[in-house]
Amino acid sequence: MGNRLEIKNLKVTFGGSFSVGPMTLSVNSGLIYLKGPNGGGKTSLMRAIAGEIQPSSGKVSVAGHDVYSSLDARRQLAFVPSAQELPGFLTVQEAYQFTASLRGVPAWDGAIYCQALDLDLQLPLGHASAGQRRKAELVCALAADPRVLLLDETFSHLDKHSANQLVDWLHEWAESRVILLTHHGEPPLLADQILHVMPGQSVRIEKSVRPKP
Amino acid sequence: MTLHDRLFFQLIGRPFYRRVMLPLGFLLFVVVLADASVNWYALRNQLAIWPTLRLSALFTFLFLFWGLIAGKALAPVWGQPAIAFLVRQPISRWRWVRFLAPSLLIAFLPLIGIWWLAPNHGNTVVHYLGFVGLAWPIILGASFHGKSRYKWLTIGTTSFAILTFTYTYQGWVSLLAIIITIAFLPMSSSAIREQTVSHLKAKPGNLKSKTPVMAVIRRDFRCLWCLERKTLFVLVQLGVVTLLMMLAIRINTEAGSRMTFIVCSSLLAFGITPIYEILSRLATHLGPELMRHRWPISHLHRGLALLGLVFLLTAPVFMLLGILGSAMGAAYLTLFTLQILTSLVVLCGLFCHTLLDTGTALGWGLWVALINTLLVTTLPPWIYVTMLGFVVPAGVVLMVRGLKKFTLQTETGTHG
Repeated sequence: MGNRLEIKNLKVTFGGSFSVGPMTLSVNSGLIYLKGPNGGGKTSLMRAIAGEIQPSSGKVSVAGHDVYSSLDARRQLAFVPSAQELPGFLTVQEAYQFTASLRGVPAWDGAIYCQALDLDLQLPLGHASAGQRRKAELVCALAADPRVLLLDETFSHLDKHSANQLVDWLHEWAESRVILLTHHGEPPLLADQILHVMPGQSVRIEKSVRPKP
Repeated sequence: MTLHDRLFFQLIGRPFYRRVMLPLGFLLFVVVLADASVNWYALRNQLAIWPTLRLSALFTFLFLFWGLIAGKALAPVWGQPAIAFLVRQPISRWRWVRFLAPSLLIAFLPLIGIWWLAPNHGNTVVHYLGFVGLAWPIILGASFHGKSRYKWLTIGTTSFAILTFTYTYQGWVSLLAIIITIAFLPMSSSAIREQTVSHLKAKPGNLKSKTPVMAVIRRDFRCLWCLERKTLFVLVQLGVVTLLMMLAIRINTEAGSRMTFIVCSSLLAFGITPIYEILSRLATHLGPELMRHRWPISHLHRGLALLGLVFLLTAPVFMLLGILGSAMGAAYLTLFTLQILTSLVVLCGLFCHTLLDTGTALGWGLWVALINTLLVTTLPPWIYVTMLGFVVPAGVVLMVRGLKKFTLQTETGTHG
């Protein structure tokens, strides 16, 4: 079964007035780009895939385990939200130590990623800029090397150097992991699949564009 | 009164007046008590013949003492988000002084009274204006944090001490005091803009933990340590008072095992009261980060982490209480331990159950502790222990269900 991310007829509804999906996807690895207008439901789908909100119908599973109900599935999956969520009283290092400990790998060290992103380990998140917070969220998501990585608007606020670094990493990780990415405007890198997300409509797979090595 | 005056008074004056009323009332109470036995005029005359150095030291101490009290009441005002808005506006330093003056006026009233006792060597108006005005940087300095605090406390206190010392010899020093006050007013007031940046008090720690539950406990404790140290201090103070009361009872009475148990149980109710308030503040600071459904831990684990946190916060006091009340004997000590466990589980359960209820009464902590104490001291032990077989699991269920409801409610808000 491997790292397979299986999404079957996933649909998210809020209060009867907003819905997105259904969405169906099955991948072992690769880079998938979610595209759509503001308020189109990309973040909602991401949150449902991350196991944060219960889908109104359908199922998401990682390596055969249901994401919403299984801790094993959630251990293998990480989500970088578009909103800043990490508490300000933690430093960057404490934040990733906390996330790694939650995933049962307390010894995981994110210093190498922080160094590559030019991020101070001892920086209190309450004093960090929007870009620094985004980098910290990314390093926290990488804690314990998750097999499925969900990046919601992660490129926004990043400086050019960090964005380039992230593009390099994504190319490398896409060979062995599943990466779902949302981004406004043109995607910063070529994806294996592009999914069109529109409110009230089923998610449409456009094409596969990233050439396989 | 202009719109600016009203705005400044609403944002700074009102919260400051509310906070300073208690120490001011206490000071007034002390003065009224002392009035019956002190002849203020005689005291004033007596102070006039004191050696200069001693006199200067006395008034410096009194000004600094009140300045620190008033500054403590003023400090939380700078933390309001609206102050950051004011600081961004194009308001000159002198206008800041003008707008601040009505708000801070009340803090100078006790100083006028104190300074009335000082020997007057010049013009009365200048005598008061110059020296009482010098308290401005002291009061503001005491309300600041970081370097500004020490800077303005040192500048204000040192200049006051030097000027009061030289004032005894030269009356014109009061004029110099006015000039220095005028210089300090805008300088110290402009430091307010540095106060709006949040300063984290704790040094970076290490959150590496062997188990997820331990990681959450440590993260929660770090939150309280960074942001709610004063509340933790209240818990410690209450714990110390509880233990001192138990110590006094142990030394002064010959209580039997049953009576010692009843005293310990009652004191437990007293010591456990702030826990609900502490948990509420933790939840306020963490918001949805209290528990996220996407975390790879179950709601039961999160609940256990919360229970672990309150246990760590209260265990030292309760252990010492048990040791001081060892005269109760092994059987009652077991019952006392069970009472602690039940109180904490039920308290955490109720806290989680009411997480989304904004109007929750803070009296929950007291009610849980008092009812539990009433039950454990009136029911036969076997009935109480049997009852726990239902109450403790019910508390755990309440906790898990409350956390589930919380994650469901807090994480369905956004779509985009």
